[in-house]
Amino acid sequence: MKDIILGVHLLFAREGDVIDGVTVGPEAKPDGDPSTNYTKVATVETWEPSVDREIVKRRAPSPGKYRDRASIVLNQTTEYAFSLQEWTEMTFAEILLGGEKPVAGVFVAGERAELLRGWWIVQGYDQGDNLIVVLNVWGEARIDSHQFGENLDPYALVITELYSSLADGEVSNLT
Amino acid sequence: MSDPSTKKAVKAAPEQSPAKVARIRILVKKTPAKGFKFGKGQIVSRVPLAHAEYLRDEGKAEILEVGEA
Repeated sequence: MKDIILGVHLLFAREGDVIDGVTVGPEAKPDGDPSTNYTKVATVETWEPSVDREIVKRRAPSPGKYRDRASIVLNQTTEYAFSLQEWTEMTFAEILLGGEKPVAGVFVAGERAELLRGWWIVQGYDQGDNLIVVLNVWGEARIDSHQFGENLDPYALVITELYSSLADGEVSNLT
Repeated sequence: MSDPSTKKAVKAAPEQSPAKVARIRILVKKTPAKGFKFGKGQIVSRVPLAHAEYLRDEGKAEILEVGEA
């Protein structure tokens, strides 16, 4: 058992990038080794996973009043919301302003047709630097808005998980 | 005349066979190759033959084609 998952790290491998002749995609996930396969997104302040399910209740008389008999999950959306500190070309120009990947710093805001997709690695450690969780998520990212100013508030990046047969996770040190 | 005993033996360079690579089809999800994990049905080119044969023997992939690197 653990009281806390304290330090969280977020890493990214972009869809379409070519590594050793292989194109990153939903059914082609680069390994974490070598570490150059993934780039650190930014310093993470908070991480909030959430699961939204649409559920149909089936009810049965018992013997007169109806009570829940079964819950059928029709669909599910999993999101990972992060509070991040630093901005990069990717998070600012592509995700917040919706541009394509800048070329020599040049981009057009709003030009991107789709959200930024790729493989995301989420790592969570406890206060003793023990690894608690690792998630490999195929998903797309968005930043809905951010107020720039003197306050230096972190910005909210939300990753929505998309289906891949390669997505997985592992918990450790929780027994 | 040079003394034959001082001549260095000249070893013939070992003949190196060109490295073989294979194009494979993944049969089982999360199969590792070339530093990636692949989903079922994916076609992967230029996999070292030894690894391709290992995956074939494990039932994780089928070899579609063998060529030189």
